[in-house]
Amino acid sequence: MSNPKKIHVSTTVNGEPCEFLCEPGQVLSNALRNNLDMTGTKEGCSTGDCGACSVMLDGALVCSCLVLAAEAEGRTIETVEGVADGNALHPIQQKLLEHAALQCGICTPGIVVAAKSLLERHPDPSEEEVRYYLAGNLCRCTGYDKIIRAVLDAGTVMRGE
Amino acid sequence: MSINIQTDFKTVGTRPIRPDGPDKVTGRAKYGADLNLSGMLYGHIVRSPHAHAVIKSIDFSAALAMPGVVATMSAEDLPEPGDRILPGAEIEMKLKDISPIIMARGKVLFHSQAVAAVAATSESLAAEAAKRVVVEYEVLPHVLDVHAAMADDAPLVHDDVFTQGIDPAPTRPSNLSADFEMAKGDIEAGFAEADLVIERTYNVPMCHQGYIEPHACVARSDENGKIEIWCCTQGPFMVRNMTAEITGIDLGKIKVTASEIGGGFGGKTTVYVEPVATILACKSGRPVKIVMSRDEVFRASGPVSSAETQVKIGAKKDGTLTAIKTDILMDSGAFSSSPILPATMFAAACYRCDNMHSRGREVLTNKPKAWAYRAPGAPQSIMAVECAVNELAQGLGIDPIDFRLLNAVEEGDVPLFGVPFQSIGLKQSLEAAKNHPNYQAALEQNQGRGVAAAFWINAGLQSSATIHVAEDGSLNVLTGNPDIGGSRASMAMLAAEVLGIPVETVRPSVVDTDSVGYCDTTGGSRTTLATGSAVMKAAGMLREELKHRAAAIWNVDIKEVEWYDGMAVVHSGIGIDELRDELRAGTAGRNPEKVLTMAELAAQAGATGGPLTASASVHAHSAQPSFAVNICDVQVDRDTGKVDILRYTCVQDAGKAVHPAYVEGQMQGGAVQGIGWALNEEYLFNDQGVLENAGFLDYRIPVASDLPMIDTVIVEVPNPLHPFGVRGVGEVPICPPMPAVATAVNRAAGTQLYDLPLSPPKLLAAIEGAGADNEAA
Amino acid sequence: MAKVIFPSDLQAFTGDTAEVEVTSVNYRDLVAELSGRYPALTEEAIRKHALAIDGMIIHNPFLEAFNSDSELVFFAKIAGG
Ligand code: FES
Ligand code: FES
Repeated sequence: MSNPKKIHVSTTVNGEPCEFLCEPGQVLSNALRNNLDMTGTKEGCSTGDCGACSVMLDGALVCSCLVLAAEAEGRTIETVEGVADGNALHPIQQKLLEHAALQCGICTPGIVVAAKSLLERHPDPSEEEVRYYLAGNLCRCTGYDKIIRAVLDAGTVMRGE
Repeated sequence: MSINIQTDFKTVGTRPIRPDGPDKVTGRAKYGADLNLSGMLYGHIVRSPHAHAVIKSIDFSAALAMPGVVATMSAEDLPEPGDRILPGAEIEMKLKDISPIIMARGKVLFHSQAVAAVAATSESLAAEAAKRVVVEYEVLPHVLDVHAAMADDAPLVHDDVFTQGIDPAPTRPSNLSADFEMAKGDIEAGFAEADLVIERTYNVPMCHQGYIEPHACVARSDENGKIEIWCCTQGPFMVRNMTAEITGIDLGKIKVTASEIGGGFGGKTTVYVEPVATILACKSGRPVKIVMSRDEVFRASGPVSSAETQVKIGAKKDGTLTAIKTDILMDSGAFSSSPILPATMFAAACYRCDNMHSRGREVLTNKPKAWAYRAPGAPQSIMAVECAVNELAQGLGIDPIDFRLLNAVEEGDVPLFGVPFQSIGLKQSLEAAKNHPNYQAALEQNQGRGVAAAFWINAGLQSSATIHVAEDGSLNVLTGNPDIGGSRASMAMLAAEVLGIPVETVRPSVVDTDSVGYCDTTGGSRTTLATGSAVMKAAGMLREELKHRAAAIWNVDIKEVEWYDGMAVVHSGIGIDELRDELRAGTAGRNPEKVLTMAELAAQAGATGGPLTASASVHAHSAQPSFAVNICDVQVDRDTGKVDILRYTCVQDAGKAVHPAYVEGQMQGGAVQGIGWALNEEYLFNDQGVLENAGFLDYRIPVASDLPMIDTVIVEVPNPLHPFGVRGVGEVPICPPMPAVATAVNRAAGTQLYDLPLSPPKLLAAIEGAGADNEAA
Repeated sequence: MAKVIFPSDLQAFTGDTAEVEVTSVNYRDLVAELSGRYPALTEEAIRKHALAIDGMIIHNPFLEAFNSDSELVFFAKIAGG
């Protein structure tokens, strides 16, 4: 195999313009982590089954391990690194901490991105809705109880209740 | 033996936000795969396509011909393990059972065993190069099933394994690697006394720990032969020791830094990739990173032994247990590493019974080498005993919790494994379960309830801690135990409690193997207990030193100085009690003649003898068992066989809960792992020994929508050997769920299905079978 | 005299004796006393076990002492997950 030519990608990550070179077969999670050094996006499976790599692509929640890096051309990407406002944590981040809703924390960035996307679309979800929305985000440590409570609680804060 | 146990706490028992939390919710925290170094190569491991074969030759020439391929390795690059025993390990381990997992030597014994590795300038190049490594095999007959493996004519997994534990020692090698028994009383007389005897076989499948973070590491070497390893592990000192032994590199040349760890549950208490990256780094002179794929994690790391357990259990009409007999058969995969010992010893540890017999057999097969998973071995055998106890209680018309209360062990009772119980909280946990609303909730049609109790021993072992006081009186607490579920928070809390200072002024960290004394691995529910004891000891030493410094400043005798609420106070003139009253009432004011705070003492450290620092180490003997009781309510869909968990409650004697939220988290997480093992999780091999469900899509761990909230009740019966009453908490939570779920499902479905997992097709067939039986009757 | 309880794997070396009384009051003497009494029970076999002294499980009891009425149980070393 001769090394295939790299592809030049211009994209927007967390509101800032950004360029990188990727291999044709490289996936977005890998490019974020290894080309852009944004290792907040995690990889637990690289087959779309664990949700650790969740990012927003043009406003849609995706598993970045299932998106080719080259597909980011001209699109808008939001990752966990862009969720907090400077040093002010987003309510979902704050509530995950307050509820002790992380143990090892490897699933947490994906949960943060997915839960934020849920609460932005459905500001007042039921417990069941939260459970189904997060069904693609595996957590092996917590049994989900505290995560679900944290997301519901974050919803309350975001609604200003 | 007992000590004075503190019961009045300032910090212990509160729920501060964990100090490492903000890094984890923002994505800043660095895990195993998150380190990249300049000039770094990527390693890729070549794995066996056969379950059992002789490696005839390995040809790297085509791979090395590719531009960008820099180094290769195989077992040739590792020293012969011979009969060496791994020195310093907590449990005796033979190097020849570990080294071949890193690189197969001469033979492969399971599909996907590591055979060779390559390092190249990119991940894709390394993967391509690995495909071009030509390995010639001579395929041998393999054996996958434990019963087949015990047959006289079965292919031998090893020709030098002779059954341990039988007398006289066998002269022929076999796949039955261990066969031992433990007994007390007269088991047959016990059954003769019984009014009801239940006898049944229970199957728990091989599963995986399922941590979300794959094994990952970066290794680099330098001109002086010094090695640095960055990796996700439960034990950086274990990685140092094992890497040294496996590679033959001096231990003193290796430094291991544990990254943040994305789950382990026992699965990261050994090495898979670190020695490979180390050799490739030495051979190339460049940093080498290896990240296992999820597929590799499933095929080649840590599966958990399956168990087939026969239980025979008898009781009198009044519910008194008269005899408990267990016979456990465990699949260890290709090397002797199953938890057959604890499975056999602890199967019925919850029960007081004069006549007990337990047999354990470990069998080798051409499957991946089994490894530890949370309370290793106990969930499998406890599953069997607890289901049988439920059936026995039902047969006798006794409430299952009442039945357990009648037979539960308490202080002074001697279990089968011989060590008498100290103060324990099984009865209190059973009472708490009985009084929980979950136990009173009404059940409807197709719904069922199961309860189960469980025991785990907990470990102590060796730990070290160092505390430095900064110039402002804040603290750095350094330990060597990776924080897998919030242990940095508990280390900070324990130091804060001993010194009486706010927990926010304590900065705990997990440091590398060069920067703190030896620590055994994070595991065995030992970190808060043992590493916490080292922290408490160091904090206590520091407290004494601070009193001395205060005495020097005040120029009084040390006897006149007390440590109170984070401050040194002098009680010259008035009694200490009087002074305390004054301090409590706030009338002592802030007179520096009487009071010196941490900050004030730290500021004067230079004048009073230099920086304030303390290091301590322990070999903790204070570990004491934990007990747990779970209640599970399910609903069964009779048309599809699907099970829904309606309600779930975990009760656990945690001893003193240092950070209750993280204790609850352990209980909830363990319960859900057990629910997954009961309902879905299992390894499926084809007849060639190839794992057919090596991904999270087909190996289905519980997801959020599968579950209800998991209710928790922490019972606090203090550990009589720990100054704060702390017990281990991390492991026992996975022991009761399987029998609680299995009993609930069988009650709901009217079945007797004890072959886990209770997946929909299997349960549907059992429901249909039970229906047909009823019609026939 | 202190009472010693052998697990089943050690009973293979003690001629099936499960319980024995010893005069030793520390671990090192205990190892010598037991291996003297049961030649098949080697020091190595004993040292593979932890020792529970009156309910306290000690993984490496090399320096431990106990009382003449202590109950000693040899115990398989278990580290956990
Ligand atoms: S890494 Fe993308 S879903 Fe698991
Ligand atoms: S906290 Fe460990 S996987 Fe979720």
